Amino acid sequence: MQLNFPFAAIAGQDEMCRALMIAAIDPAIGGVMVFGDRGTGKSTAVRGLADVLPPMQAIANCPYNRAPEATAQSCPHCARDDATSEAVETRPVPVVDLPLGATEDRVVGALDIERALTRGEKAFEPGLLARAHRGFLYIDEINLLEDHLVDLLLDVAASGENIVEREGISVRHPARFVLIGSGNPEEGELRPQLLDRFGLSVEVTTPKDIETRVEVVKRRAAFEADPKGFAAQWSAETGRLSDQIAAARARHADVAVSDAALTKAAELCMALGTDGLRGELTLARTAKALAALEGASEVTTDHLRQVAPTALRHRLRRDPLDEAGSTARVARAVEATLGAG
Amino acid sequence: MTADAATEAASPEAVWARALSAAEVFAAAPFAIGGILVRAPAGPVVTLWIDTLNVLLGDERPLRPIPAHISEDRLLGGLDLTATLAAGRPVMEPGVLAEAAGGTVLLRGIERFPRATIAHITAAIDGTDAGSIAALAIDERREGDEEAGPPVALTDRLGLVVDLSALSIRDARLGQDRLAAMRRRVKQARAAGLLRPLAHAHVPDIVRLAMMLGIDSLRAPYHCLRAAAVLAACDGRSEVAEADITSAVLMTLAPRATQMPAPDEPEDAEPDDAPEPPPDQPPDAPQADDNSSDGLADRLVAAVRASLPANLLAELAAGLAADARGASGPAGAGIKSLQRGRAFASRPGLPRGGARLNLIDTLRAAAPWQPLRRDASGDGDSPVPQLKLAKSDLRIYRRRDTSETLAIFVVDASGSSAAERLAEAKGAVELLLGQTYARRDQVALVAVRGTEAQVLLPPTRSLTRAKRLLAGLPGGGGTPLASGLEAGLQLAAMAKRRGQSPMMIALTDGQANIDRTGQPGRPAAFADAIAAARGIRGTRLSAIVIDTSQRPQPRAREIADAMGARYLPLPRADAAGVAAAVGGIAESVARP
Repeated sequence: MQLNFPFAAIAGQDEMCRALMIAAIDPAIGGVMVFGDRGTGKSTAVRGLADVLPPMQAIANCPYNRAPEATAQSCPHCARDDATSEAVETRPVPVVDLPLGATEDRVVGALDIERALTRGEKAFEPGLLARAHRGFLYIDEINLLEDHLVDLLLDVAASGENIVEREGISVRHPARFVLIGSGNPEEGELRPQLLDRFGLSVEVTTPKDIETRVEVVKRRAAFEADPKGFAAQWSAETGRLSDQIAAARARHADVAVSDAALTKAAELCMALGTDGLRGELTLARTAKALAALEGASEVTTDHLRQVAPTALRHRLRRDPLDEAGSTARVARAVEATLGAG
Repeated sequence: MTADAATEAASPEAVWARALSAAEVFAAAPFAIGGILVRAPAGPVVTLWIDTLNVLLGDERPLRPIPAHISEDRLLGGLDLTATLAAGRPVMEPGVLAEAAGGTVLLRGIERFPRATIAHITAAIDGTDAGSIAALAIDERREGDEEAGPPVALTDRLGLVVDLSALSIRDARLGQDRLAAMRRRVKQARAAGLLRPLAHAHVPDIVRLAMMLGIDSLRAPYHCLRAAAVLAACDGRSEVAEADITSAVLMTLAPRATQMPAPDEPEDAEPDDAPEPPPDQPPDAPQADDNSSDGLADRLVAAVRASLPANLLAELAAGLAADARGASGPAGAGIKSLQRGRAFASRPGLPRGGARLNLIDTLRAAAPWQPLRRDASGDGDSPVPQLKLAKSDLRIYRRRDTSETLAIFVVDASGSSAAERLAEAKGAVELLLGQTYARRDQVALVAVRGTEAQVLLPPTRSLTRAKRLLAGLPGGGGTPLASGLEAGLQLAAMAKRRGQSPMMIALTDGQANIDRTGQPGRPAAFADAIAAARGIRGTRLSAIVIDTSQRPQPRAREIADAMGARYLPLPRADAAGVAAAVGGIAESVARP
C-alpha cells in the first residue's frame, strides 16, 4: 500500500482543496471539475482527500458500501438469502480512480466468470461504480474519456443508480458518488452535457510566485525521501481537517440561508446570464457548505463572493468573441452585484 | 558565455556525452527519475544508446519492450485463456505492466501509442499495488513531421530528455573503457543509496530557472534536483556541486524550455520579459543575486542557452516553440488514438469478414450454460470439464461505426477583403467547433497568403486552442492558391491514415497570383491551382469551394469543377452560412 501525499501539505492550490472539502460536506452539490496544467497536484489532491474524510459506516463485507440505514432490498449483495449478517463496520470513504482506458465491464460490473465457470451460476461482479458508492469517483483527463463511457456515467450520475442488463444479468444497485474530473481544455473540449453535471469547477495553475513553487518542490522532496516521516509530521494537520469536515457536516443542516442571500445569488446569476436555476441553487448550496466549513451560522455575502467563481464559471454561455476568461467575467459580475470584497 | 563555448556545448560530441551521462543517471536511479524521453528517429545511434543503457541497467533489470499495439488484456492482465480452458476454471495471468513492476519498460515510437495505453503506463509510473515502473520512451518523429507528439501526461513524468536526432553514427562513439567506467559510476551511485536529502540550498535557484524557461510543471524542477543528486553520487560525492546542477539542468530543464530569457546583459539589468517574481514580494524572497548561490540561476541560463541548437533558440526567443514542443502539441495524439476504429464492445456474431473474435466475451456468454450442456452431453462427471461452446456464444468486436470527420479550411487571406473573409472563416471554425462537441469532429485551417500557404491550425477539437491560434491570424499579400490546396491535401492524407474522414472547404475568389514555386504571375499561378485542384479530385476528397468575391467569378467555379467540389457563391459568406454548408457535407462524409 502506497502512502498518499498528505492533503494538508498541498501548497498553493487553495481553491481546489476548498472545493473538494465543500463537495465532501454536501455531496448533493454535484461533483468538481478541475481544469488545469500538468504537474499542479490535481491527482495528488484527489488521492490525498481520502485521508481527511471522516470514515463511514457500512454493512460488513458488502461490496456495494450499503449504509446501515438503507434497506437490504436496495443492495444486490445484502438481498441474497445467504447474506444474513447485518453487522456494521467502519470503513474509509472510497475514492475510486477510473482510468482512461477502463472497459465498460470494469466500470459497470460484469458476469462473475469464475462463479459462472465453476458453479454455473449467473452472478454479478460489481464494478467501479459500486465501489464508488457513497464516495468519490475520480476521472483524470475526463475530456479524453470514450464517449460511450461518458454517456453511461451521465446516466448513472443523473439517476443515482446503476442498472445492468447484459449477458443475461439483470442487476440494479445504488451508485451515488461525487464525480471529480480533471482535464486540460487545450487537449480537447468537454461536452457541455458533462460539464453541466459538475456542481463546481476550479482552474488550477502552477503557482505564480517563486516562494510557493519552492515550497511545493521542497515538500515533495521531503515526502519522497521519507513518506512515513512526512505523513507523521503532517498528521496533526490532517486530523484537524478531518475534524473540521466532520464538524461542518454536523452543523451543515442548521446553517441559515437568508432570503437576502438568495436574492443576491439570483442577482449575480442574472447578471451573468447563466442558464436555468441550477446556477443559483448551486451557488447558495456551496455558500452554505462553506459557511458550515468556516463554523458560521449563516451565509453571508462574503461566502457568496468566495464561492461564486467555483460555482458559476463553467455555467456561462460561451461567447466566441469574448476573449476574457470566464473567471474574469464572474469576477466582474461579483464586483458589480455584491460589491468589492 | 563566448561564442566558442556556445558552439562547443551544442556540438555533436557534447550532445552525445550528455546523452551517455543521462543514461548513467537513469540506470543508477530509474524510479527516482521516472523515465527518459529520447527524441531520435529509428537508426543506429539510438540503437547504440539503448544497448548502452541496457548494459548499465545490468542483467537483473533488463528493458522490457512494450509494442504500441499491445492489447489491453495483455497490458493489464486478465484471464489466461489456454489455462482457463484446460483447467475448466478461470486462471488469471498478470499483465505486462505487473510483470515489469520494479523494472524499466521500453516504448519505441511513443508517438504511435494509443492514448488509453499511455494512460495505463502513466498510472504504472505513478505506482500501483504491483509496484512502480520506469519508462524509456523513444519519440521517433523526424523533423517536420506534422504528427502530434506523445501526451504531456506522460512526458511530464519522464524526468530526463535526450535528443539524439541531430547525431550521426560517426558522432556516437563508445569505447569499452568508457563503458566500463560508466558501469563503475552507476554501481557506485546505486551503492550510495539515492534517497539522501536533496540539495535544499539549490531549490530556489532551480525553481526560478524553470520559471525563466517557461516550464510550468513543478515535476521538472523536482526531477532536476533528483538528477543532480544522482550525478554527485555517480562521482562518489555526497555533496551536490554546481557542475552536477548544470549537467542536471541540461538533461531535465533545457529540453523542456518554452521561452528563453533575453541574452546576457549587464548584471543589474534584469530582462523585462522573464517572468519575475512580483516586485512587492518580501525582501527575503530568493533572488539569484542576493542568495548564497550568487547568480547560479543566471549561470545556468547561460549554460542552457549554449546547449541548445541555434534554430531552436530563435524559436524560443520568438515564442513559437511552445506549440511545437509544449503543452498543446500532444493534443492530437490523444484524439487520434481514440478513434482509430477502437473496439469498444462486443456483439454476437461469427468471426468472419474481418471481424475479430472477442474471446473473453465469448467465454462469458458460454459460461452460464456449461453445467446444462455438460449434463445434456452426459460427461458431467469428467474430472476436467471441457468447455462446451455453441455457435450462439460467439462474440465479435464491435468497432465505432461512424468515423470522425476532419474539416480542413483553406482560407484565402490575401488582398483587400482578407480581413473580412478571415473574420468569417474564424467565426465559421468556431461555430463548427461549438457544434461538434457531441460528434467530436476536428477542424484544421490553412491560410493562403504571402508566397506560401501555411497550416495555421493543425487538426484540433479544442475550441480553446483554436481561438488562441486564430486570434493572431494576419492577412494580406499574394494568393498562393496552389500551395494552399496542396497543404490541405496533405492534411487530408494524414487524416485518412489516422482513420478520419477528411473534407476540404476552400474559401477563395479563385484569383491566384502566386505559383507553386512562390513566383508572382497570374497565368502560371492559376494553372498550378487548377493542377492542384485536379490532384484533389483524384483522391476523391469531399470538397466545397465557397466563392467569396463580391460577384461570383468564373475562376472560382473552374477551380471547383477541377476539384470535383461543390461550388457555393457566398458573397457575404457569413459564419453561420458557411457552418451550415459545411455541416451538410460533414453529414455525408461521416455516413457514406
